[in-house]
Amino acid sequence: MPRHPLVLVGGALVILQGLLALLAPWIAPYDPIGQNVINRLEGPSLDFLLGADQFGRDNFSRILYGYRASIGVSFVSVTIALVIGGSLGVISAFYRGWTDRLVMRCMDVLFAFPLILLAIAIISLLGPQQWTTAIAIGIVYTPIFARILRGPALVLAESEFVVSARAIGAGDLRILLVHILPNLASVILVQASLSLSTAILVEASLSFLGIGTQPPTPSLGLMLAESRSYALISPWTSIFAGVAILTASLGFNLLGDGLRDTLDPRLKGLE
Amino acid sequence: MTRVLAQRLLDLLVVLWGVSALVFLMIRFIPGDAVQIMLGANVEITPERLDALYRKIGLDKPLLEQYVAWIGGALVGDLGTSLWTGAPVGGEIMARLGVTFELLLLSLGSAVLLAIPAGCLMAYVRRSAGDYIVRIVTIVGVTIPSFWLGIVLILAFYKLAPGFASIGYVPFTDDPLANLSRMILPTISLALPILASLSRIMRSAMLDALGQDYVRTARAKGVSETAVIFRHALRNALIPFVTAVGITAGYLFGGAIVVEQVFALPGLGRLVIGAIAERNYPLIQATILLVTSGFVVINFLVDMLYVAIDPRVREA
Repeated sequence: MPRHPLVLVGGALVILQGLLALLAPWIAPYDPIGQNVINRLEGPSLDFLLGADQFGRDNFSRILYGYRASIGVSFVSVTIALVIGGSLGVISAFYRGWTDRLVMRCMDVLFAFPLILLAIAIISLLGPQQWTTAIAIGIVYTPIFARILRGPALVLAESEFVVSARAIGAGDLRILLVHILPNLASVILVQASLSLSTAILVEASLSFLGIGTQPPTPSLGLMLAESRSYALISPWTSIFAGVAILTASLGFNLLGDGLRDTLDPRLKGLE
Repeated sequence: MTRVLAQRLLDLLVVLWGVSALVFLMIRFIPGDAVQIMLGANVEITPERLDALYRKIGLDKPLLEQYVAWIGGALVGDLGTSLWTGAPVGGEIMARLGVTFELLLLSLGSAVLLAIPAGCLMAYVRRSAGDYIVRIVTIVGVTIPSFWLGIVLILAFYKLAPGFASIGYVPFTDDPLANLSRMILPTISLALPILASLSRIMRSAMLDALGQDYVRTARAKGVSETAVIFRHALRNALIPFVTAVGITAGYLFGGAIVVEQVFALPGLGRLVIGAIAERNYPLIQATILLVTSGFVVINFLVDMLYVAIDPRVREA
């Protein structure tokens, strides 16, 4: 598995950017929200590796903290979606019948909304903030996990080892946790990685629209929105913030795509 | 065929009902302080004024009665009135719909037209050294944030062709040429990520079709390679592709909201974002209901199209 080129490249990108995000307070050369008008809109130099924005804040430091916000929000939201959506999908498959129909219908309804539109609706109720963004994206992604996990769980619930486990008297909870869940690990890993990739884009879009992370907290989408008016004078902030969003999302996408190839040969080449 | 149709129709109605119920309930979840904000900054908040506002949004009646009144109104085209202007929100939405619709149509159209040949070509060069390059290029394409691409395109055109008007909107009926030229950059920004993902789907659908028995039979009969690809494989590969296009349309709408912001296009996206800023809930509610139902119905029609063109489903 580790030999797969996409896993290697994607994994390296994820680890690198994850470390940058985690270690931001120690490696950032400047205070990400400290303003210094003398340096405003400076281009890249030895002092400011990626230039400075319209308030003279160091782009490199802000991008490090931006990774923290983007990856952090995406992680929380995918975790919410995985726990709620995944459980619903597996329970549906396991109990079948009315439970299945009811749960999956609810998921169909949630899935019918255009992704960003539903997130916007939820944020309009909870108020625009970092944690509400995480909840909104989490809810929006819930039906995706329910749908993806239901299929393989259906097959597992019928498999011989589950039937045998039941025959020797294992309870529902034990069968779900000990026999079914571990066999779903590869599907979960692949879907989580791919979802993180798109969640980063959604978080950036929402912050760009001004309804995600709020200033002065550094966020990649927000940096792009704020620097837009100055982009014709000094494009550096816009360019680097965009590249940072792209590489963060790309890392998880390559990783997920490569993992899918190696963990589940049956899914090879499918979208 | 009739049974398939009836089942799908039932599914459609259930989902539409669910969507309407959820959008309706949304207004019940508005936090109390938001209702006060809706009163406006310059008004003293008194219980009477709050009551009047609750009556205006219709929160004073029993839940079921409210829903019936709301959905009954929506079915005959009355989607409520804007909290701020007092104008019917249906009119405000219709005025903006055209812009978004044009943008979606142009982006989806160009992405689909390019994705079919691109996907076929990618399926054809499979197993060569080009395969990994193709995969990486398409994955990078999928992850490009379209709003960033838009900003980069505006910058690039400003440097290369300073005379090119890249921002703003001209109605098609005023000046078709100016309208289309201003749509070029937003269309590219939206279409590129979709093109990457659709051509990947086309590639795997085509690979799947080329591996089927009927393709081997056709080749064994001595059918020419062109005919194998276009008459046999492509037609079958289009079936999963069409489903993917339907799902992509909803995803594309999310992109359009953001891209409209970048290019200052007065579409639905700007309307919704503006409505959130002024907490105009009836407008948000109506837009979400209308757009989502629209996509549900479009996906249903695509599904039906699929039943019509696929003899296996038709005769089942």
